[in-house]
Amino acid sequence: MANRLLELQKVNVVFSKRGEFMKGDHKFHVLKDVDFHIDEGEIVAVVGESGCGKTTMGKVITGLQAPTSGKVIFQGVDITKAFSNKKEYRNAVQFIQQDSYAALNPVKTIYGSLSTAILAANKKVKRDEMEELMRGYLSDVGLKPAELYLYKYPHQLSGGQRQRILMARALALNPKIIVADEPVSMIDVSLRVSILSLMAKLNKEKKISFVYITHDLATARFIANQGRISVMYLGQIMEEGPVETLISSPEHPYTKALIAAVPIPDPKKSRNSKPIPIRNMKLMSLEHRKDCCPFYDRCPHFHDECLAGDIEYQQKGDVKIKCNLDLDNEGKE
Amino acid sequence: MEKDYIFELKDVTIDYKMKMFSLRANDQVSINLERGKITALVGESGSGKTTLATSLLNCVSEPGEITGGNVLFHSKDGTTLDVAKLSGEDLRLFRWAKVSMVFQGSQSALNPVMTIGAQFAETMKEHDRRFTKEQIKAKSEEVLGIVNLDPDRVLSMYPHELSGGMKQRVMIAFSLLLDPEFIILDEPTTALDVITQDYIFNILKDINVKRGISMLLLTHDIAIVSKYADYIGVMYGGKLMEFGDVYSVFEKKSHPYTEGLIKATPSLICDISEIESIPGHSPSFMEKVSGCLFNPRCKYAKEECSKEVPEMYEISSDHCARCFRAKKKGESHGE
Repeated sequence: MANRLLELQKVNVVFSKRGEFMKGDHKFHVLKDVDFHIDEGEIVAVVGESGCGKTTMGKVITGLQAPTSGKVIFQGVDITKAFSNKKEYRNAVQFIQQDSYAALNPVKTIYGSLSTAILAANKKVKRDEMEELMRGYLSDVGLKPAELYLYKYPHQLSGGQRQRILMARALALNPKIIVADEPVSMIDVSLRVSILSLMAKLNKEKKISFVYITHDLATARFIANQGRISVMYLGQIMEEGPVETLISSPEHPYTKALIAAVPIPDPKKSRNSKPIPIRNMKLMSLEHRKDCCPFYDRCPHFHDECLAGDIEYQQKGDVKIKCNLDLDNEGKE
Repeated sequence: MEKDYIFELKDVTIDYKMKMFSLRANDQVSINLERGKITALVGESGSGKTTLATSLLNCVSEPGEITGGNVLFHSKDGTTLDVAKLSGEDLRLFRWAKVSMVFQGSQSALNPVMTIGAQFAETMKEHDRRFTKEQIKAKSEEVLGIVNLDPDRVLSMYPHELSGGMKQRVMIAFSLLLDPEFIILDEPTTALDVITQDYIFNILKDINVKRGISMLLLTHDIAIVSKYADYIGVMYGGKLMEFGDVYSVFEKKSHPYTEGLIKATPSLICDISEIESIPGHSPSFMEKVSGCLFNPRCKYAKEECSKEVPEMYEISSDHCARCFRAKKKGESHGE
């Protein structure tokens, strides 16, 4: 078995919103009993609609959000408890945000932004070594020659270049895991693929594991073609398994709906596609979620048992599915 | 056969005039939009597609200005207007009543301190004082019904109480208020997830088919275009590079940029190893490129490409492209 880097065990995150006078507090169960793991050198794509808790999960992984209950285990140590090598964990798990402009300090040059990260990893770096190090990181992310970028401010670079700078900054800390939250959603289509290929290259060459958070199944398939996909819905993982199995033969009704919604760039094929197999377009609010299958109100296979309580995962090959349908017989109907 | 066009754009040129210099955001764009159809304009950010679309309403944002060409609007009652020459009250009454627009980022397009109902009423009153309260209410309910929103709830709500997908649908309802003949959709589903996106496009297609409203769709998502549009125009650096019937363009992509865009779009069925990005970066209006604008990034570039500017060459009656390779294709097609 590959070396397990990080694991979430029964992680719950509850946000509470202060209610109106005398009405009590509202509780939002953003993540509910999430089990997740990532091994060394693996790419896992986390896919779901907006509001499904995928960014919150990314924050829990990077330690930016403390779970309300549950364990986050990094290389065998539970980081939700006090432990001595917290700095090692913080450096080893890096986060790349969606909005590259907001993630860089606008009044610092790229040199300034990168040097903070380099010094955080190693205080002993001397001034004359600094530029050499940066040159290395920038060429790793495909920005050559470095002089063109080092003394510029974030606003002087394009979105794609800024996204690469973020990646270089993460690399400066020698991470084991990079959590990338929708890194290409604000980048032009013609350049998206190059950023995704860069992530795949870093994964291959430097053995960095990636958690790729997205709502776009097509890019998830592109980057994680050897890895896994986790499909999230209202704070729970509905289906998880190897990418190709999951996309070619999805089992969970929600995964089926998601796949049907992705348009195909070919007019002959896309116009013959069937409507999305769900009963209801509206995403339930987290507030109204009950202790049962969260997808019950949209699921085309809904039956009374779905409301009976929490659904257990069932295993089918490499895929785990949170659904109580009889998966072996369903196909024969 | 002569086609029935709702908009005819002839050599439209739009300049952004600065103190020291001016930037040409659209360079002699000629494009005809057929009545009752959905035409899509595809291009990267900064390719000038939004600027071109705003010229249809003559509301190019400052300091931009239409400096050349005609924007002819053929109304269904038989009259023809040159929108580029309209001004004052005529222009104000033309906007929204004949042509309306669904802006990008519906989040910021609605007034946060007014209810949806009040904003609807204001828009209608501004165009015709004679609308009565009952008429406004009836019309508001009708347009919200089209986008499958519950009028009793939504009309009394403030924008922050709506979800992203609902706001986008309110914006579409907004654009239908004055029964326009034409709607411009500027990236109507960016920032929405795939299921909502599919839902909204089904509503739009329905409006297009049942009410016969023509549409111009601006997007960078070529997969969406292939599913919903009838015609596609590809913009690059302020110029129209390829235009034609969707089936024809996807089958016989004749501009290397179009080819690159299609190749750069991952999908769920394609062969992953064939996906590749277009090398280089998107053009800046500050750089001068001699010859064809795309030649620095083009893998087929020859010597003539950096010397001469290609024209639009016809490939078939429904399809043309601005590339020397298309010229040869067109000639062999004619023989």
